[in-house]
Amino acid sequence: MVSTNAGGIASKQASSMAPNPGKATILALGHAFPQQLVMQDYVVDGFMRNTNCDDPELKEKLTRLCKTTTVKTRYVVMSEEILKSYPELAQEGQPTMKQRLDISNKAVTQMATEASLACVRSWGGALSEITHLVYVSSSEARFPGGDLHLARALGLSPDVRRVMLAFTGCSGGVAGLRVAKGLAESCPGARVLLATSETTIVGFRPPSPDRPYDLVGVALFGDGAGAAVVGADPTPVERPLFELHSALQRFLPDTDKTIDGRLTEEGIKFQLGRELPHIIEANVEAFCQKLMQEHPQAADKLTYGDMFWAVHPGGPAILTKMEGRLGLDGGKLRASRSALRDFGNASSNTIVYVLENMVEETRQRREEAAEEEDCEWGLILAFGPGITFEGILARNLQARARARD
Amino acid sequence: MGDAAVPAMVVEEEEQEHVFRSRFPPVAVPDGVTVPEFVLDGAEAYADRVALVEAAAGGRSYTYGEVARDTARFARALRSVGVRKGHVVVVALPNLAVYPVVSLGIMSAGAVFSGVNPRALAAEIKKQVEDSEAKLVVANEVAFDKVKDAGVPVIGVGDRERMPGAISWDGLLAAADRTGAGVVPVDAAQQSDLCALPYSSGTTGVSKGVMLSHRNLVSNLCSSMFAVAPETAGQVVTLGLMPFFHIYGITGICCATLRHKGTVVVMDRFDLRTFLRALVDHRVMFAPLVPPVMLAMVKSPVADEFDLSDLALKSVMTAAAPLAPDLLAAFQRKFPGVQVEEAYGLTEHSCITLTHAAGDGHGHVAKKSSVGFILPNLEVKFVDPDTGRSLPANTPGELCVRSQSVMQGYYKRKEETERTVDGKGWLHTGDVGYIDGDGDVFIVDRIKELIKYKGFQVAPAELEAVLLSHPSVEDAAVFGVPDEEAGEVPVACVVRRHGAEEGEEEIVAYVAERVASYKRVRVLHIVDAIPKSVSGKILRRQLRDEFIKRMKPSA
Repeated sequence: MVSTNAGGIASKQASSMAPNPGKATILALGHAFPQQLVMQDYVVDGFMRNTNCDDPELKEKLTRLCKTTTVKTRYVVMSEEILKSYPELAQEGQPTMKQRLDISNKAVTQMATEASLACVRSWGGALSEITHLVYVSSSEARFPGGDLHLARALGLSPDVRRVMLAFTGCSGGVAGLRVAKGLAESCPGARVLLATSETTIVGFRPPSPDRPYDLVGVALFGDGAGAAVVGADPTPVERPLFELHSALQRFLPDTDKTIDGRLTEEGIKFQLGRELPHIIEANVEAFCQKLMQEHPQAADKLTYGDMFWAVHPGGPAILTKMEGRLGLDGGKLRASRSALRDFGNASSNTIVYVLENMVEETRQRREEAAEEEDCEWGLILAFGPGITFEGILARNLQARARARD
Repeated sequence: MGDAAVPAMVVEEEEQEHVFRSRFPPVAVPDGVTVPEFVLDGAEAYADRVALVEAAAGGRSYTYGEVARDTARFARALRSVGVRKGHVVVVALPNLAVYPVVSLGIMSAGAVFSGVNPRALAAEIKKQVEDSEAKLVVANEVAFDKVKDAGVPVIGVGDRERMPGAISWDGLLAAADRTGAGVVPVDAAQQSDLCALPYSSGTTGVSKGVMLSHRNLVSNLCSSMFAVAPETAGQVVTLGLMPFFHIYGITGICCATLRHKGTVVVMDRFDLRTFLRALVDHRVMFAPLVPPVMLAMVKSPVADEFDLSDLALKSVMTAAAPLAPDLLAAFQRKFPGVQVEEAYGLTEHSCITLTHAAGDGHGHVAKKSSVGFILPNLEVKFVDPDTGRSLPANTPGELCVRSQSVMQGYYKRKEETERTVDGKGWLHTGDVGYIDGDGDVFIVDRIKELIKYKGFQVAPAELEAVLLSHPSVEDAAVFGVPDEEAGEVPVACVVRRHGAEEGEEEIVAYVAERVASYKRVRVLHIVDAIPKSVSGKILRRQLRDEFIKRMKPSA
């Protein structure tokens, strides 16, 4: 058995990119989802039935709005059992923040634990080897924070060094990678576990025909958890997926009202400005150019078409506008669009699902010996409240080495 | 009579009750297990053995490992999309290998499986979806167009391209594989919960949902499998030709075979070549059939294309339709090693109620023309339909049965339920029959179908048996039509054997020679076919209505 294993690793490494010494790499990824699956095609019918509404015009409008999200399935924590245990959540104007946090706190820890365990299994190492924990969530609030609850649920060492990134919204996943990268590169031998976990329970509102736009928000967002193990200088038994070469963050002045979330007694209330896709479109290229300058050789050698694009799919409009602005061909954002289709916008988690899709695409290309080559270099991007841009210039280490000269 | 006399009378009445029980000792019914748990108990040890295989060329098959896995996956998928305890899922599938996985998955999720004939009219399927307040429908290409506008989401098994708008079975299962546990746990299914809502055949009255609990089905399986030898576990190959949407198909064939870890050879529609090929190739040992299939086995020249000398077939079983004596004789001549069994069961009693099948070594074979003996754990009595009093042996009365397999009632039909299951738990079957001194039960007829000729009762089945004994008669049905003078008169529809030349009068005369004068057939029609239900029952009510309609203009 041992020799077979070793042979497998040797052959894998032979055809993969070598990581640069001292640079942080993603060594494994993982995910977990809650119990309820929402089939988007049936959201409208269910909504119309639950609200005893048979206005055909409203139904058509909702159907159209649901389709435009391009989401086919999402996973949510909210269930019949929760509504039975907490009937006040379905009533307007009830002070329910406490109940929402009770459910959320439990759910995010449960999902983060499952995602972390799946990730560590895929990594092949032991939980005792984890030196740092970076925990990202915008769905919980408590003392001690979710980072401690997760460390305890996983049985991590009491000496594990914890960081929690709270209320970073959709850019939180990439922010977490940036922080994990910093820790991994500054502490030799560190193995950093990054976990993201989100639920829309805090913002759940009962469906109401008076607020059709609510449904678009509900129809777009999903719940779940993601995880990654990050470390530099992989051992021979580790299989690095991406090298995190350089990470940048930027906020756009005077856009702090565009993504607006307020905690109220009735839960969190979000407002997304309609101008959001336009603001991203107008500012994304300069940010990408700055990231590309971080390339060790002459950055001008890299073109958009030469790179892979792991973009947080905040919504279909953001992806379409990016494609248009940067002139990306339709396949470039495939991993992002698939994640949006299968999981919705799962906030900070989504970038983990996008990266998992890319690993799978690379694996399939390799298996099918496809003509199409993987791009070695690429960008990992996310946009969050602020408006904040998070970006990482990365290398796909599973890409086949191109024949040079 | 003073007040004190009342209890004394009750006691006296109870003393007169003629209740019959099985000659075999009672069998234990396990507590606390659901149907899927009971049926798949011990499946791990048979993980690589074939549980279900489609007879058609290139058909799908499932091992026990796959059945257990996909049953759990589908249950999880149903819960993930919000299906909960008590929710009904209508299944509009033909006989496919996946069928038992679908129904066990539904039950495992705590939901209620309601099978419907995929070849029924769209309006009939829609009626069942609406009456049962189903949350979901499972269908394949056969019924998709009929169910797509029924108002509930459809899970499509099979070719996605041909079922636009359906939730893909594979896609749903894959999506649900990713789901985790709930924050507030889902209510698990209890043995007392409903698990099936078959609609009773509709040969009499309106089609009604029959509410069956896990306990009902588990106890029925325990009773009907009482004589199954443990040492044959994993060896029995059963033919799955009877429709699975019918209670007998899903419990009597699928659940019983899976419980015993045998193999079900799944056939959708009957085709003699595929059928014989399946008997030969899959070494089928037990085949529940309808009489026309046995007729084809005996008479069709197609049968000569196969070497049937080395069949593994041990027994065939017919239920719900009487077997013509000459067909039985011809069948036994051609297949001397095959035991022909009859059974009697009804949906309201979770399936089999009386049977011939005691297996080897139990020392009792019921008489040919009987429907069998009483199964363990059951109580049976025969009541006078007019007085309601129970009758002694050898006296025909309405067959009543009491056991843990008696349904919980008709769905949303309290009145009909009360008319069918009395306060003491007796299920009134509507069938007239009697028990003989050996404990063998004979069914005379349906109460409602008994013909009342000048105050005499005439049993259609008796006249049909006489007609079927005529060498030129291939099939026959008898029913009563209103008559000014007699009240009702017996009318027969007859299918003549190919090449037979006897006229209507000759056949009428043939019957007259063999029955009492009040039983004579008064009108006889030669027809092309006799309409039957999927389980093989003659649709006498339909024949009667058609006959009356045809007669009216001339009257």
